[in-house]
Amino acid sequence: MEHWKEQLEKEGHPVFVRQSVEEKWVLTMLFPKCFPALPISIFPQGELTINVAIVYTVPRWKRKALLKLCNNLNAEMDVAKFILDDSGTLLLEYSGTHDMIDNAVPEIVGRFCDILEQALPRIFRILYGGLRRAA
Amino acid sequence: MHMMPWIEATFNKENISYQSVRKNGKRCLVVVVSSYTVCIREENGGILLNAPIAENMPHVFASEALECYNQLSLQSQFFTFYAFEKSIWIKSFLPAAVTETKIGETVLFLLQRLSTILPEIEQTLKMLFEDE
Repeated sequence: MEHWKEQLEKEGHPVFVRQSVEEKWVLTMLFPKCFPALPISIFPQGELTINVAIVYTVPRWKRKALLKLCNNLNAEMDVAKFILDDSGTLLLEYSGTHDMIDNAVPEIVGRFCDILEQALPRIFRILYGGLRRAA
Repeated sequence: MHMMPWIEATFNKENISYQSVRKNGKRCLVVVVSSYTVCIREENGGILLNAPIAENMPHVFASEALECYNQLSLQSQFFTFYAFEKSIWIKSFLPAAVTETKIGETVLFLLQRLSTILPEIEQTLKMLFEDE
C-alpha cells in the first residue's frame, strides 16, 4: 500500500480501502476530519487522481451559474480544479502521474480541505439561495 | 525550500531559453511554448505555471465558452482552463511535495505537454468563437 496511507492516518484522516474487482484498481476512501460528509477518493492505478464529489446531480437550471462559479474558483485557487463531469457531478479534482504526485497526496488532501472551506458557502448559495428566497 | 534555482538549472542543462522577470513583485520565469508565453512562479508554497492562451476576447463568460473550458479541464489530466477578465488562461499547479525531488523534470514534462496540446486547443477556441 502507498506510503501516504500511513501518513494520512497519522494526521487524523481515517483511510478505508476498497478493491474494485472489475477495474482491478484500489479505491481508497478518505473521510477528512474537517469534512466528514465529503469522502475524498484516490484512484492510484495508472494516473493518480484525487477527487471529491461535492454535488452528485447538479440541476440543469443551476448548471450555468455553477459553471461560472467553477470558472471563478479555478481562476482564484491554485491547486485542483472544479469541474462538472458528464453525469452532472460537481467535482474538486487533482490529477497527475504517480511519479509526479505520489509524495504529495497528504498535502493535496490538506489543501482540498482549505479550498472546500472557502468554496462550499459559495456553491451552496447558488444551489439553495433561490430556494430560501422562494420560501 | 528554494524551487526556482532547480528549474533554472534544468533549463540551462536542456538549453531552454527563459527570462527572469518580476510580475507584481514576484519573480517569474518566462518561457515561450508554441508562441505562447508561459509564466512559472512560486505561489502558495508550490509552483504555478500559467499562460494566457487567448487575449482580449469577446464573451469569455458566455455559456458555450464556460462549457468549453469545463470540457477542456475535464479532458486534461494536468491543466485547468478558465476565463479571467477578457482572456482565456491555462494553468497547472505543482504542490511543494511534488516538486521537492523532481521539480525541474516535472516542469519540463508539463512544458512538453503544453507544446503538444496548445495547437489543438487553439483550434477548439477558434471554432468556439467563430460560431458565436
